[in-house]
Amino acid sequence: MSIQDNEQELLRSVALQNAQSILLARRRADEELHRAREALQKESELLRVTLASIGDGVISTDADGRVTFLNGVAEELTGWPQTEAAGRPLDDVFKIVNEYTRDPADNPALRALREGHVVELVNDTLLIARDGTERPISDSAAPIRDAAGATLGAVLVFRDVTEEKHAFATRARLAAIVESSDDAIVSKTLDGVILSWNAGAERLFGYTPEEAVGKSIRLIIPPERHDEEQEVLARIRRGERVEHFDTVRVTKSGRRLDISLTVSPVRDGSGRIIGASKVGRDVTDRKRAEEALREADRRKDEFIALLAHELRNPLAPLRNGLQVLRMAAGDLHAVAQARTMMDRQLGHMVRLIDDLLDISRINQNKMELRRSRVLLADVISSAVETARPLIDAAGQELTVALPPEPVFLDADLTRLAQVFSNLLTNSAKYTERGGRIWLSAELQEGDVVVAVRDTGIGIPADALSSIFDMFSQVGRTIERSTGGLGIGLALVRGLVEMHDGVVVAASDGPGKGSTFTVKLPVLAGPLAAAPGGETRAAAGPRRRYLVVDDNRDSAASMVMMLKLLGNDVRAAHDGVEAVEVADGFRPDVVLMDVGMPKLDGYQATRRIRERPWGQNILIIALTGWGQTDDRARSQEAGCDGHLVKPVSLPDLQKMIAELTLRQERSDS
Amino acid sequence: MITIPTEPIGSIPRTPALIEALATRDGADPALEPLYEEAIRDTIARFEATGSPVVTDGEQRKYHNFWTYCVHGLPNSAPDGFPIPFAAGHVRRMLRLTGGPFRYQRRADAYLEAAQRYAHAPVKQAVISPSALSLMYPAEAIPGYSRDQFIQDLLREHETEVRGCLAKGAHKVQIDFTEARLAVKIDPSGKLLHSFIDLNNLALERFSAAERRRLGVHTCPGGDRDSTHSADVDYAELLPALFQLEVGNFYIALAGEPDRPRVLKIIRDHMKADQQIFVGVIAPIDPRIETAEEVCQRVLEAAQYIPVERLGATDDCGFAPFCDDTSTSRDTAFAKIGARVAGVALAAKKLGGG
Repeated sequence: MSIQDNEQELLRSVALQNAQSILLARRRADEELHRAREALQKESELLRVTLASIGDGVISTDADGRVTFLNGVAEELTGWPQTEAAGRPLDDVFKIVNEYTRDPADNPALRALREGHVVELVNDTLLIARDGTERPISDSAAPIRDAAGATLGAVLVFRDVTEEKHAFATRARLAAIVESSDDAIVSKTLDGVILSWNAGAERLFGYTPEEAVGKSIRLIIPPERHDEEQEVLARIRRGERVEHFDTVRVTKSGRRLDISLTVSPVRDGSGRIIGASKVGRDVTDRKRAEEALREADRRKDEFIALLAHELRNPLAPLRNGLQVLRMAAGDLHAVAQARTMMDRQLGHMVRLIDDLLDISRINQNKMELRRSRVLLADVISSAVETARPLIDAAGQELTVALPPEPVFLDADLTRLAQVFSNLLTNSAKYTERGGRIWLSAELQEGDVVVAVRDTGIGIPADALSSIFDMFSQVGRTIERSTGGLGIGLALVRGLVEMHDGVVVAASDGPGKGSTFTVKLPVLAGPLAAAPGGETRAAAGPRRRYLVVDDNRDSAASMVMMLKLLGNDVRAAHDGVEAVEVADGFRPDVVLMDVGMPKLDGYQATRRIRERPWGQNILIIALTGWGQTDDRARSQEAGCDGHLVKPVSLPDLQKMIAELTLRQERSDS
Repeated sequence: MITIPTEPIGSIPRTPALIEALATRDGADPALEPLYEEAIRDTIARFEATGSPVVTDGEQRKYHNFWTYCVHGLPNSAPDGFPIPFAAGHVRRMLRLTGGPFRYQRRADAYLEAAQRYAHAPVKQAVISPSALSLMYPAEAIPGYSRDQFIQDLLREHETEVRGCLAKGAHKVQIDFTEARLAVKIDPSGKLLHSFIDLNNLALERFSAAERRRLGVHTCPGGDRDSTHSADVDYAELLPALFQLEVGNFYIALAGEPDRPRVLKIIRDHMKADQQIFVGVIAPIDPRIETAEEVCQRVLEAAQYIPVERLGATDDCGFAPFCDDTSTSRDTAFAKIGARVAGVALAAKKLGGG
């Protein structure tokens, strides 16, 4: 064997020994491969199970965008089974459009393939399934790369967001409700740490969400109520709801608010209580209103008691007067005294009732002013005339000072006179016997300012603001002692304001007198015709009167009075009788009560108007009802006029004169 | 219109200046750098002048040979390795490993990187096979460094080199497996060949399918000084086993075969569906320059056995696998390459019906 042959043999030996090592390496490689395959198989199985079990749809494609895999959810959402989808272009299987424009949407997987990077969640996308079903989805995609970075395909992950969208919309609505609520809506942990704070809470308590969230709810709880919060939280932990719990909270500025709280437990998905939601409402105004109502109610009760008392007061002297008339019919002096006393008491009662009705009309905006151009001097004169007897009786001195020039007002003379007579009467009542009262007027920049000042008991400073209120308690004791309902000043304010004026009260305090100042706008221009004076009672022409009233005394007294004036008078005491009597009597004037048995005054009026003779006679409603609606109803029934009881004879005569004149003009 | 890919094997005779310098200096001498650069630049320029769609650096920097370039200078090696006897009578020797560990001294991706600085066309890079280097471990075991450990190191080093080439954008990475045919010659039982194939597959399996489509194996009977080391080995004993390699491309010397149709039949019968076959249409050891028509005929002949879409053309071997081989001039090499490029184009035209 040559050296070369030896070397070849040696080479063969080396090669064969190498072969053993290679074989060993092969075994190792095969074992590694086997292990790797097993691991891969496990991973693949894990991946398959994972993809099958996750709630999202998963589609993978090759590098050309052809479908290679769909999981079960993807099959369900697209309507394409894996067997049919595999190998198809992705756009065939995964058709998407923009939810709002309906334009085809950019396929995220194909974009990931094109651009080579992850395409994040794309929203506002509708997936159109194979059967045409449309679902809102969110989707994202990523390229699939091998170890060397080469793009092998793309994986697309998407899910049906129908429920999410609905939930989002619901949450948005709820959030909007919470945010737009005027109530404070706050959530907190069971330890009282604030978690959310709506705009209502910010408005109510002054803290911004940034200032409140994360802080203890004690931020708004007064120190003395901290225990109360612990009790509320304890109830929440027990799963109880705390409803309409009235308490007090304190704002950022330190102001205390009356709050009504409703606190409810907040639970997590498993039902465990994890916190509380609070709805707080500011009831400060409600509390004040309730208090004011209670106060008004209390005043009303007091007033009713007072009213009953005051209405009964004149009844005793009236009854006594009647007794005197019966007993001393022949004693003309005693009769005259009794009549004067009875007339005074009756007048007092009428004033009481008139005041009540007036204040009621003002409060209901039903007071009607008969405004005309009037002289301030006439107004003051009338007022002084009314108040003078009381002032004189108290031995008080009244000083009146008016501007030298005539001052004209656009006013209802009677009502404005009532204002100043009330003020003068008020001063007379609350000023000691022998005291002084001043009424002065002066012009100030287009207004006239009339002040009524006295040396009386004065007004406490804290009562000045409420002195014009109805049922005010101020001076109640004195009010009782002096008589009256204490509504005179309320009436003053109402009437002054109706005349576009203002009235204020001033006093230096108890025992230092009072000053009531009325400011009214002045009318410019020369003196016009003075308003006409009141009609005095006079005999007038003789007429046939039918007096209809179910109150026989009332009817009898009116019959007596009309007869004394020389008229021919008959009476009827219900509507039916009224029509019957009128049929035979053919009256010129019918004084018709309204509320009567059998047939009321309206019906009786209608029936009389149906008679040929009844069409031109005067029918005047005479009733205790004097509101605008009442007047309208009587007019509708056919009445020519409407007078409110008790009626003074001059008022009756004045109305009859006016109606007759109107009738004559109409006839001519 | 069809395109038949055509690629060189790799080596081109070094420039005369470089050969002269290498005769007196160590190949790693920094003073040679300008010569290497100029040789690479010129080689690529001339490659591109032929119209070759793929070029190489002509292995200008493999200053020993295609086989031992990566381990040349390995301190734990000796030059008295196994001989490779060539038909012309000369012998080339491998290195012998004298101790562990086995480590490459340089990797071919460095050559690729240098070539890419000059190239406009895609650059192909050739590397030596693990099986060739496996013969460095001696018959007697090296104390403290087992044969098993050596094989593992060898595979890792080879993988690292190939990955480096792929990462740097090599058009193809060609694994020179010229010892395949030699293995049959040494061990007609085929055990050695199968062992080599198994070793190379162990290396190839470390790459993905996509990567393997960019890898190829070159087999030839050797070519040095216009001589071969195993031309007498029948391809029938080699090719069936060769196609077991897990690689996408085969560069098979064919031009020098006496009975090409027979070899083509063997190829047809044993190639796998995903393998691209580059048949040799130029014989580097033949000093005659083939004509384009001649090349065309060889391609058309191969196309009768190999589907056109899987057919490629190449040279049978490098023109100077050993750097000191001056048997073929650079002009001849490029003329032959030019003939290959033109002939393949002609064949493509004919096959395309043009």
